[in-house]
Amino acid sequence: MKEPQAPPLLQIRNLSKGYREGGGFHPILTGARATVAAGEMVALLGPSGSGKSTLLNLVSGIDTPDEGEVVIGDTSLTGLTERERTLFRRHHIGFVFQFFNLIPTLTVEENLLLPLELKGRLGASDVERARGLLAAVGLAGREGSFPDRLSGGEQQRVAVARALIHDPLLLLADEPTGNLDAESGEKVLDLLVGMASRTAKTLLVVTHSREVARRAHRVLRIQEGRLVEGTP
Amino acid sequence: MRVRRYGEVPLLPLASFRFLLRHPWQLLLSVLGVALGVGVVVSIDLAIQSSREAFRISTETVAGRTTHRIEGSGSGLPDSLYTRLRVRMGVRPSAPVVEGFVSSPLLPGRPLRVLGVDPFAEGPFRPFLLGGGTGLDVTALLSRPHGLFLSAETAAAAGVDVGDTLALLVGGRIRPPVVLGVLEPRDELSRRALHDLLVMDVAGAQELLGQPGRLTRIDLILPPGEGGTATLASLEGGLPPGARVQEVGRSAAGLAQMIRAFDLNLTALSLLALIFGMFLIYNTMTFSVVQRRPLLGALRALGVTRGEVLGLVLGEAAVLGVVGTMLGLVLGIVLGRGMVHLITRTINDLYFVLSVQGLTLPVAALVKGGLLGMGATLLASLPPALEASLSPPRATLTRSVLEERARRAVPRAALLGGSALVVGGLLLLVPSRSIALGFGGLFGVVMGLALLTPLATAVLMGLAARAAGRSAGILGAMAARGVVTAMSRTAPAMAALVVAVSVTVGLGIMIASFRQTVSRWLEGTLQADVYVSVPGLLSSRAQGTLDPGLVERLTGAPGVEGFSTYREATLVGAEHPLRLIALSLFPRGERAFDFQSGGGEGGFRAFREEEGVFLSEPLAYRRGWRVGDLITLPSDQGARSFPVAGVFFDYGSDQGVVMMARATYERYWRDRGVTSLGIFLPEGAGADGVVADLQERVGEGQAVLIRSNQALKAASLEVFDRTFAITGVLRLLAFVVAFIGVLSALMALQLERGRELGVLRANGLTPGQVWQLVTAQTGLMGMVAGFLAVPSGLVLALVMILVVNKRSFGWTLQMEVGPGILIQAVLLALVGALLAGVVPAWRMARTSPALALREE
Repeated sequence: MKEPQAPPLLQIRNLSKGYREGGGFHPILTGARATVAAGEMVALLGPSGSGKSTLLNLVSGIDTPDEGEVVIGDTSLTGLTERERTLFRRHHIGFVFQFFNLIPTLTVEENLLLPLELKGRLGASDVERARGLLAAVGLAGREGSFPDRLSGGEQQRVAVARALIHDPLLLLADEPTGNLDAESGEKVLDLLVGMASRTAKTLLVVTHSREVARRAHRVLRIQEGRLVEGTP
Repeated sequence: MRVRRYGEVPLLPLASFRFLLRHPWQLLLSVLGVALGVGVVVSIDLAIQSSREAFRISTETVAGRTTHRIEGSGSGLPDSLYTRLRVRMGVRPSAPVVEGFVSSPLLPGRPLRVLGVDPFAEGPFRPFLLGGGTGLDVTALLSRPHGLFLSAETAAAAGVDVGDTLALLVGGRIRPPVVLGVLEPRDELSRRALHDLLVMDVAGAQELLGQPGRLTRIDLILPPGEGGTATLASLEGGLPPGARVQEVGRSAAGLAQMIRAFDLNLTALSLLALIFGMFLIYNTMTFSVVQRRPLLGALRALGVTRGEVLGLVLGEAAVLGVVGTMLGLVLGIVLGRGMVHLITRTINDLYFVLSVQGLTLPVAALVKGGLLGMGATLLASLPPALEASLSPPRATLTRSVLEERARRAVPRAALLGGSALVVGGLLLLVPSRSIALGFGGLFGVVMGLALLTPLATAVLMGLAARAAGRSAGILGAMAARGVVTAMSRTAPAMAALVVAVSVTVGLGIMIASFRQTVSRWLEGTLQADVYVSVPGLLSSRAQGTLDPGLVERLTGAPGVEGFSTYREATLVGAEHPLRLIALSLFPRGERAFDFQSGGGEGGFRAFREEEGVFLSEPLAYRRGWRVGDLITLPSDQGARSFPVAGVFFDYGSDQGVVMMARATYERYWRDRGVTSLGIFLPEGAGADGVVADLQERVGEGQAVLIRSNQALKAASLEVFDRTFAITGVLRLLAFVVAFIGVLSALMALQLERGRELGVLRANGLTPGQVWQLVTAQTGLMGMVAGFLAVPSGLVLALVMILVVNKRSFGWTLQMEVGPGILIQAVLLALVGALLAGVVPAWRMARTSPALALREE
């Protein structure tokens, strides 16, 4: 575990979140706090149902906290409207999901170009960039393939490339190797960590995997709704 | 492999478009639903527009530049009035017109309009009439009054040319006028105006139509402003009793008004098909949203805004809408050609003679159909599009949230449904004659029933799950529970199925009740044993005049105990034409009347001795007339008032009729003709032998129809069935659209269960058991929908009979509910649902469990 050297990119301030179930209230997070420095890779561990995905949703602005604040760079997500949070996500956050979530009706190249197109009109250089990234993840020549023609590992490599293509501030990964065999998982992890490191991206990865946690700069655990520093 | 090039279609719409193409069956069914819905609406609209257009042309173009008309009461105007008008009063331009309808064996099924005109006075009025043509010598009409001009098109259709005779059937007699000239229309308007028009000299037309010395009307062109007003004032003072000046357009508007309710009912029925089409779209879009929830969630997580998701789903709907609507417009034109014949036939059977040349294609109707199709598609897609866009990305990712929300919505929908029922019921109870309000109420009831369906389904499926669990184990219970656990999918499908079957049941009961009521009414009304009439152009009534000699010969035949005579006339009133029947009744004939109010001994005394009149129920309903009221009728001696002595049930015409004693009629009208005869035979005498005997007595002269009581009843019911043919067609089309909707919904539901069924297959379920499970579920849904449709159908039938029909046509119908139609409802729903389960069951049973599991 290393201490963050750079200024903080992500600040999780006293976050609380719970859900109504039947007639009662089920708290998930109760005053979670953490700071993640720019360029740092943090693994988020915790048993099922502990609130890892909830935290990821709050950090990405998909969901809003009952209390507390999420600050990314200079922006507090808490003060933004739903639309503003969406646009913030579009511009500054890259997502890697457990189940890849590539758009099945778009080709591999089109999946990569989608985040860029959402940001504005596509240019010729964007296509070059997408092809470069595809080559970097070992999928050169597969630009025109649809996702269902790729293996799980290949799909997740495309997802990693998609998360990085628009040069986000923060990269979020929700169990990126959870749906892959050991070998494919290893490759994807190498790629994710390597690319994040090369591009100096801040990476917050939710995982159950000790291997993933071992590769992180820091490990955070969720215990009784709070974030605590942990070990892989 | 295809590589995307820079600058092509934006990626999100591209992804959507490819999604549609990847689900071809879903795409095909929804496009078909929109196309059928739009097609039915457009076809009815085009058919109605075509009949209106034909009517407009036949009235307005034949009216030409005429601004006013002098019209008489039932028997027209005397010739002398025209002379007096021109010579003494100096009213010019003015033109005499004799008008009537005839038919020709050479042009079967085409009513021909005879227009008797004065060739020298015509010029300013209808320049297209005598303005051109081959061998056209206008004076020939004067020198050979039994000759006629007709358009080249009609001449070609009849296969006649100048110099030939054109056999015409007039009042049961064949007349052979000579073709003196063929008119070549100069433009399209003239062509349409001249369609099936026979132009004769006034005297020739009078002789041909059996109206010697009488004019149908005198056309006038009055200048606008004070000059016209002054002429009008001088005219009104100088006209004989019974004659009046009417502005052109008013009488046409009166005629058009007659078929307004008929048109409105057809339009409402056609809209039903569109509503079912909307359900289909709703279902397709909901399914596509549900199917892509993880994907939409991912897109939202990647930064796609709510507005963009909304636009995406609505964009897909728009593509479906455009394709479906375009196809629908084409289908509408094709269907319209058939519909226009059905509509024209009904108008000819029930209202007035109308010759429709074909389908007109007004751009406005097509634009309206297009807008309706697109509007309906987008409206139906709005709920799923909002659902997709308003859900937060987290919820979008979980299917369970959707189902939970759907389950929570069930009681709310039921509450809303109950409210819609109450509002609909209250609208129906409003003491009004508004048909639109009636349809509004009916719509509320239908919506209420649809919204209550999910709750009723949940309750019934709960009961079914218990029963199925006991009899068929866990799989049986699963089949029933699956309906409730997938409420987001099953609720709209069930609601559509229930509404579709209810409407089918409701319409079926309404038509059956109507037919039974008419049959019973005919049984009572047709008291005479044999009926004699002149073959007419309108099926609903006798026309023309029986030769007085023939009347004597027939009524004096051996074996005839007595007879009643009927004289039918059309009174051209200030607003609407009014049917009047003058009766000379044989005592037994009095039993024909079944009075709603009044009548009885006192009523008949007033009828015979005090100039009392009987009104048919629709007429009394329309005009708000009651027993004891004095009604004013335009007679040959001017306006005269008559007391209403009774209101009787009558299903012969929705326009209604006034019945008057023959003696009263002859007191105020010059006409002495007899339109038809009812001949009474001694008790127990067979009618068939007498019919044959009377036929022999007719001889060579006038052709007449002599029918026994039973034959006339059968002919009347045939007209009834013909009238409802279009309702039957629309009922069928609406059901087909709804059926496609249900098919698509149930197919989607079962296909969506691929993973669940894959798990079951992996756990040892045989393909046969998968088949049983799927068909058991769709069968259960069909059965429950069928049972729910029975009470709903009865409610709809009640509303249609008591409110919609009464307000539209003024008839009181006795509701008849046979077990057949109710069993039919349950079977219809059951078979429909079972059929809908066939494809998914077949597909699921054949799919490898590994593939089903992996695909998910």
